Amino acid sequence: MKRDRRGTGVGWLIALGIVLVSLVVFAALLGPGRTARIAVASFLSTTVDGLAEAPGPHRLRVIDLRIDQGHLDTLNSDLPWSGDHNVPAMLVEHGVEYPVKFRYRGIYSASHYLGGKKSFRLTLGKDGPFGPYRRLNFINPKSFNMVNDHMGMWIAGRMGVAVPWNEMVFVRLNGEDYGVMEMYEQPDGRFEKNRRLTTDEVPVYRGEYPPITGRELTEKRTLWRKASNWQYVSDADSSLAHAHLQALVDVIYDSTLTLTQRRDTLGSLIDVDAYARYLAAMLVVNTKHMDQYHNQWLVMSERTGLFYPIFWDGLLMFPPEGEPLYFINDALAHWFLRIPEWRLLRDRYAFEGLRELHRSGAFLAEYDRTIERIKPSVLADRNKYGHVSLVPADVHRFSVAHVISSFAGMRSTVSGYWDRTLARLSDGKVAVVRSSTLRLTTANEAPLELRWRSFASTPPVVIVGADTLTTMRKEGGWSLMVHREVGLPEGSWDRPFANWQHYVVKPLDIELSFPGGVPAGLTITNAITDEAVDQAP
Amino acid sequence: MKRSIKPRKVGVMPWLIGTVLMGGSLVLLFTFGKADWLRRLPLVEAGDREWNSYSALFDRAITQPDSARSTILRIGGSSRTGACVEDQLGGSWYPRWFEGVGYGDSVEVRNSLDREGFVVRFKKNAPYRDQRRIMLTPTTTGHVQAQQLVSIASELGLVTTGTSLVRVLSCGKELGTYLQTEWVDDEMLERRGISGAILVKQGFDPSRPDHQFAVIEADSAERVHLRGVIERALSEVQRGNTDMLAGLVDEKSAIAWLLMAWVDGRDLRTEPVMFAYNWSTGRFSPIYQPPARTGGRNADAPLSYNLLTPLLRRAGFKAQFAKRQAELAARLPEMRQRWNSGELQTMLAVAHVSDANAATALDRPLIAGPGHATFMNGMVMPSVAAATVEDTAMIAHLAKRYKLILQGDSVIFPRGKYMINEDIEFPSTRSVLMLQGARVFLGPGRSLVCKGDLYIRGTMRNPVFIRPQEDGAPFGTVAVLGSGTQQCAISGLYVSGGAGAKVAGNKCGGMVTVQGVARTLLNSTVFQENRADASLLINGGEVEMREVRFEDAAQQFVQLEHVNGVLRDVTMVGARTNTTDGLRIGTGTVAVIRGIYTGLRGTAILADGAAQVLVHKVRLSQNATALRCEARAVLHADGNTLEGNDLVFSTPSTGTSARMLVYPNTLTGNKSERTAGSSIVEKTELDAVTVAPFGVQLNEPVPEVKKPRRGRASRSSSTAD
Repeated sequence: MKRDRRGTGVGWLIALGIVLVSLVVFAALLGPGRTARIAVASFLSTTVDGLAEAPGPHRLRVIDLRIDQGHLDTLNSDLPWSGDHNVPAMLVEHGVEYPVKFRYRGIYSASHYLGGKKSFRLTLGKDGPFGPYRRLNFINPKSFNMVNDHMGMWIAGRMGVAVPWNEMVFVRLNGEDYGVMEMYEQPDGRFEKNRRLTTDEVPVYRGEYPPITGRELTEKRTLWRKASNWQYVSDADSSLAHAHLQALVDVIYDSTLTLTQRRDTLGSLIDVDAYARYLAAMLVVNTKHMDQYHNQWLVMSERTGLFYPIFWDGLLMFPPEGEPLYFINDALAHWFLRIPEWRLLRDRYAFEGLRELHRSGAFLAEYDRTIERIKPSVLADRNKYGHVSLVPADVHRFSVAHVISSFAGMRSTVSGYWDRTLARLSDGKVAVVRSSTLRLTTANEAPLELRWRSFASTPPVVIVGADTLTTMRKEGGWSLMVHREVGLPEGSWDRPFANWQHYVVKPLDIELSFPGGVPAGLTITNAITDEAVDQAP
Repeated sequence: MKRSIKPRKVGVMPWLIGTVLMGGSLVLLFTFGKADWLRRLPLVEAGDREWNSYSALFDRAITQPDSARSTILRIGGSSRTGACVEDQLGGSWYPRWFEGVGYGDSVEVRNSLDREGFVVRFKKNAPYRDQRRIMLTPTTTGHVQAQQLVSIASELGLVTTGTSLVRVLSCGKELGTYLQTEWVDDEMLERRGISGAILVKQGFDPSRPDHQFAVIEADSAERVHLRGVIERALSEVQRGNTDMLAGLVDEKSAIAWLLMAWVDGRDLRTEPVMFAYNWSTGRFSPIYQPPARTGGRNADAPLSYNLLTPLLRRAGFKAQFAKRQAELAARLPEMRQRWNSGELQTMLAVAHVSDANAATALDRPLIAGPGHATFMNGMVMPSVAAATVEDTAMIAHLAKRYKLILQGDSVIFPRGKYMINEDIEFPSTRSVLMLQGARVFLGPGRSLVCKGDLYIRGTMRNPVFIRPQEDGAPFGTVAVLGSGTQQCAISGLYVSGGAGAKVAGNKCGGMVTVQGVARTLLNSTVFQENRADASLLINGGEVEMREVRFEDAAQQFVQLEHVNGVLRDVTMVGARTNTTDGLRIGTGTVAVIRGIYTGLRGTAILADGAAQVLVHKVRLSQNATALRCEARAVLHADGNTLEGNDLVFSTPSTGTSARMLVYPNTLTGNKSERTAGSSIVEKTELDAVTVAPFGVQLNEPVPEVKKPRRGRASRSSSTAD
């Protein structure tokens, strides 16, 4: 017995030694931080995930796929290059086998094709079980919590931005669990038809990296530089849509236009309200993932003939650096956010969204419901793969502990960011000095609205320095918007095609002269929130 | 005397006798006793569980298994795919041979896309029991109760899908018991007697982009209009105002549907709801379909803005809901007794049905579908209006323009000439009266629509005329589109030159169209040449015609659908130049008494659908076909005079269950008496029992013919004596 115990102890010591040596070797090769992350992910996924017993039935939709192993081997033979051709597969739904086409998708992010859970796309027949949708992407979730992209889409959809159908699902492949994935509609000309808005296709453009033809990634192209950089993905007649897109590219490219000319031309080509919502959703979701090169869509509305965007792959809390209030994701945003009225419209949508999602608790309620729905599937998923370090190639198995920790992390990150953004949008600290003129001074970022009652039928002329401001009749009185001046940070290149820039709001210090002196009943409100400002002397 | 301390021994026999006697009595009691009085024995009321346990132990009545009673449906192989139906791939349609009760034909079958089972599509000209499509779903415990749920919904006044249990055999192999469910389509609405309605489907799941706008089965203009109306009403709901929505949805059926949704425990997000939108009333009524699956994983999740649940925020609606809920709960014991199914017992538990939280649980938070605001840009929306608000200004304007008289709720066309060059629609709150001498000339394609009562009061000497303004340029239609309570009485009318039209979303195929009216009376009226589908089309209600004449060129003189009525002394004279049909009766019970039907080169009298028709003492002469019976119709022909017709009695030889019962008639000079293989039954004598359902007497006295006076009446005659 003694000898046995000694033997066991020696065995353990040898095993420990091997582990330590391998750690040292890997630490030397990969660096200690990276090694630690990979080791922890591996250790936890092996030990912790096995503790989940009988996680219960799935509450997510279960996608049951059957593919010939030979076809899978062909697709897997030289990833990411070998996975882009369709192979026949069977989708089983309600006990019926539906013939579908299967291919891998995603080449730029390694999480799509490295590891055991690869992103793929299904092309279904006309009479498919997920009608009216015909092309669906199944994405390996990009974060440990698995739902951040899904929640990003939910937020945008809730804020009135067009989004693809997006649902968390559990995939089974050839009778084995493949794991939790994100099901995503692939937009095309049927986008409005799928929403029961039209009976025919509408023009749709896809703004994505150039297609890959060989065994290397193609050079990125700036989408708004040329109309031909946008891929037409519809069977609808394209002549009018192409002409409009060309005009849109021209107006974005031309830096000589005045603000008014640009506003009026853009306003006749894009749905300003939809873009204001889109940019507002980008601020709320806090993402920089739709950029000059990819993740962009343009749909030409059948009702207005104007282009509107689709919110695509908007990762929740994938923030631009420095938490800017006016992040410029692309060349169109560069011009859009320069137009004060449109900027205000965007801010109002952002504030309205945050008030509902954050203050009313709608986001957390949906987040909790989503977690509740996904829970049994996450526990059953032994195939969770993702980036465990910042190195793109480090796609490894992660554990349920990562998921839980990421759920909590996302909750606090979202809450903290939204508190700060709400505070910025609703900031009402303004120094007001009333004499024969009205002096307004503030360092915050919100525009102001001045209102006063008057029976005068002609618009009063309000002068600021050498400029005359436009007043508008509103609810029996007069209203004047004091928009804020924005500019690029010092040293930035003021070009629409520059990457990941942002505008900063310049401090306000103006003196307004009213024709008959400062009106007695003048009220000053934050133009985003409509709340009265704190008037410091 | 001491009592013995020894316990008295009870032998085996007494024990046996006691057990057998008691057991036997209980078996007899539970097998043959009626549940309603057994469960309410004085002072001892049996609870649900108690009753079920005792019944299971002692009820020995022989019951036939459901499958034994079921109809057998046989589905054969397919020429396109070798596989039998259970091995069929995907959601495409495949041709297969199908056999049902009295039916055998090639059909198309596909797998159901949203549940297990199949959908069978029949040929347009060969429907199966009047149905173009049926759905077959394998019976799980959830589906067995579907029949009962449909029955309850029907009792609550909802339009429901018909369901029945069937056995399905595929390529000769038994697939088991299936639930056969009627497909919701236009034909189904027709079978329910709902005409002038379209189907609208609305999903309640805000996570599905494809659920956010209603699917409207209408033409593009109607779709845009109706979508705008729905979106306007829902945008008002978003602002906290449900008035417009309340005006759009039929309250009674909305309450009944919500009550059923509570009873069946469906997840409101998973299955879209079908509505029938009635163009004439401008209201949506939900159609009840048993849920494909019950229980919800989204019990507390928000719903998308919809036509039903926001109504629960109205105090009056909520009170009515509670009232109907209490009424249903009160009827539960009787219902439970009717259907002794375990699942249904749970569903129909008093505690569940009468749960005071039902309305609160159904009234869940509402949100718009993803991207809704973007899609709304540029959408055509009507201005906010409650449907009940009457357009009095419009009526006053009409009255002024055409010199009509407004008297109370009536709009009167007095004697005079009316040149109308626009479509006019009188609202349901107004009765329209045309007095003798009124001459209405309608412009090309123009129509006159009454949603309230219509009274035309002409006489044969001083009639009312409705004519087109120009020869060869027909007007549209004169239509009465009611909601089931209106009246239409026409006498002394001469009408010609209509072509039928689509007005307010309603297809009005008749030159004169009467639809959704409780009672229609026609007297001494003449219908003349026209280009419409029918000179007169009546759909729904009771009909009485007397001395009405149809003449000249027309496609068809009269079409009656879903009516109960009597036609007396009607005259139909075909133009002989085209194949005019005389009288076509769809579903309904109609007696045709006396009258003349002559010169019709189509069919003089045709009974179709599920019509019950009595043709009695009618003169049918010189017609291509005198009497024809199709589909599941039954026609009784008695005491008629049939002469010079090409064919007298006609029924299809196969594929239908049409029956013609021929009593003694007078036949002279006809080319052919009947078609070969027709299902005609000879009868000796028509009796009072057969006649009774038609609402006429067997030997009705013939009214005295008033002979017109010739020459001047003697002045002295009145003063004589």
